Amino acid sequence: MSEASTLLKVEDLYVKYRSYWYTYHVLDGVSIRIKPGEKVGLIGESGAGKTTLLKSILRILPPQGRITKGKILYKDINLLRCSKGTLLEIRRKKVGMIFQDPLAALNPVFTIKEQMVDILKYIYKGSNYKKSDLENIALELLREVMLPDPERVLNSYPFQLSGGMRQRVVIAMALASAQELLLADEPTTNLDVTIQAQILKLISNLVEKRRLSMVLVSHALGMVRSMTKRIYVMYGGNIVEEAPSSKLFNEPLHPYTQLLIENAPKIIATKLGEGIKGNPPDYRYPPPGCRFHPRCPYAMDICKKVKPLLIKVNNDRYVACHLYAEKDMIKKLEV
Amino acid sequence: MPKNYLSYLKKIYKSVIFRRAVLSLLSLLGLSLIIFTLARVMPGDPARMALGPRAPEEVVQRYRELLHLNEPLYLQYYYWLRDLFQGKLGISLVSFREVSIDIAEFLPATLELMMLTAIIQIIGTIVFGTLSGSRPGSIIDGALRVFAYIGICIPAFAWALFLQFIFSYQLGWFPPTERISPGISIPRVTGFMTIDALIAGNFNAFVDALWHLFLPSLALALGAMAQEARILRSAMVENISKDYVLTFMSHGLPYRLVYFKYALKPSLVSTIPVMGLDIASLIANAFMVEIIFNWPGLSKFGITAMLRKDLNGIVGVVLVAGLIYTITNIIVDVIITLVDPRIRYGGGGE
Repeated sequence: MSEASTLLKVEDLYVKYRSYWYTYHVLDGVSIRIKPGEKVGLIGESGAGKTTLLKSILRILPPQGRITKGKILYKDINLLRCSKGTLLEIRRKKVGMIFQDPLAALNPVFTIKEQMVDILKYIYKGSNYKKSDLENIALELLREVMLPDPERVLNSYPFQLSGGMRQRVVIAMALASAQELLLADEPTTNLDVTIQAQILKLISNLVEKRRLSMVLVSHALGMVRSMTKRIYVMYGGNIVEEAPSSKLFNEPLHPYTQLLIENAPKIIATKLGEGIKGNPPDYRYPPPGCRFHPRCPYAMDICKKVKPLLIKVNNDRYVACHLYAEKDMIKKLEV
Repeated sequence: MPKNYLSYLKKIYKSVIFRRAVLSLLSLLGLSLIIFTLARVMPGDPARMALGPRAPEEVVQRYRELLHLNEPLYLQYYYWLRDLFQGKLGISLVSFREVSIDIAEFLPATLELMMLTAIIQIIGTIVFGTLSGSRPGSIIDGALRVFAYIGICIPAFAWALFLQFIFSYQLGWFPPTERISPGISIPRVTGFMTIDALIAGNFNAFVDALWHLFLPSLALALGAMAQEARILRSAMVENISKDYVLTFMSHGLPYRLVYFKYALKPSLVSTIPVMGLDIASLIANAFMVEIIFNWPGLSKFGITAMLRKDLNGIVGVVLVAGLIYTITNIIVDVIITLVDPRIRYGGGGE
């Protein structure tokens, strides 16, 4: 893969959160890349750092979050080094983000109109649109996300709308900015199951229609599989596996991925899955070596000491696990 | 159409403001009873104090009868209430005028002070609270934290002395006392010096009056402002990591707009009630500051009335203070419903 054909490239990203007493070492050297027009999935349990990764890309981490190392390249622009104007421009016109919780992503004390017009005003800055023009663009966006009665929605406050409607509004807003890349952070949590499918279908259609690239974070593994070409699996702030969507589910390599897929809720299951034993890592004191080793059924001595790197297993599969390292490599590392 | 009329009445009855107003009137009535009784059970002879130690006993006795002081307390209260409904608060034992006239003379000076104090307080709170809340841990935040602790610790009268000493006596930038410079006279219309100056078309007098207002207002505003800025800051700190603020960051809105609009407005919901209480309490708390700046306001009048055991004066001042307190609170409630639509529409349960 050459540099030129990469839309977004995150390289060796470290993110820490600082509270008064503790430092939380969340992202621990994460690298991902997305080609133009590519749809990529990001899966992993809650607290794996998926949201942190997406927020880091747009540089909208809360103030206690700090990117301490790494590179985020959007085309050729390093988002960690570029000027504020460039960053704002990318946020306005290139990359859009759908936030996790539709109930929390809209500002409770302003009408949808006020919020959308403000956003559109800066997206179309310099093009002499009047307020009424911006309102028409907002209406058009709301129609595009299949909201019935968009005029009423536009004049409503968020709490006057249902969860599904709010998520459609959030998608409409994200679409306005996402002219190249859409970051969809669990767009269906907190929604009913029937609406979940509708929303994912809608996102999928819109992305197709507008030829966008997408990073989709979701717990609905089946949907991720059908909507994306390639999937990254995250655990404890690391990418532990990368594979084409079709192959990942048939033949998961990393022990964590295996457990994740095994335990995914299935409609036809006759009993509940066991779940993965143990707890997600404590980011204040992350386990040394592989962050998954305390919960891993195959943990070896080396797993407690040496952090496994993402290695190529065959031409399109990558995994970060000592099980797949060549034996003599392990010997060398142990010395 | 009696049915429509009835539903209209029902609507009024249901409206929060109406209910608040009725409750306020009842509590004012209760307040009047308490203060009326308290003023009379305190030791001291009001008639003797009003007429002086050398007045003959029979004159004092006649004065007592005039004031119904010899009659039982409940009858005195009944007479006072009867007068109240005719718009009379009784004769002041100090100025020998109708108390309402005294209040009308002194109240505008205090209200004017309160208003500028409120303006300084609100602007200061919003600017400082937002600046420090949007960048927690920054240098600005640290500086404001120190300022806030100092502001909370130092009472208003100490600020008054300090500001007066530095800016009037040492630097000479502001006048030390009074409401307007000697030599400037403007006809009294509303009693508000600034408004009267504008009515008279005397712009210099307006500026002069503002100049006199500034130091006492600042002294009154600083402590409350420091406290409110801290409250606003902590609400801001919480709100800036919320998705409903980050959404606007993710769309590339300028930081200032995000902080001063999308983070500030939800944060204000918790700050406004405190601001309202602080502003309302100025009506009574301005006393020391009014003394220091020789400000002919209601607090000063009220304290004089208490020291001289001016019964009607005391009750009148306390009632007016209570009235302004309740009105301010109703205004605050209205403002909150304007800021937070979830309260306005009675919804908001997720």
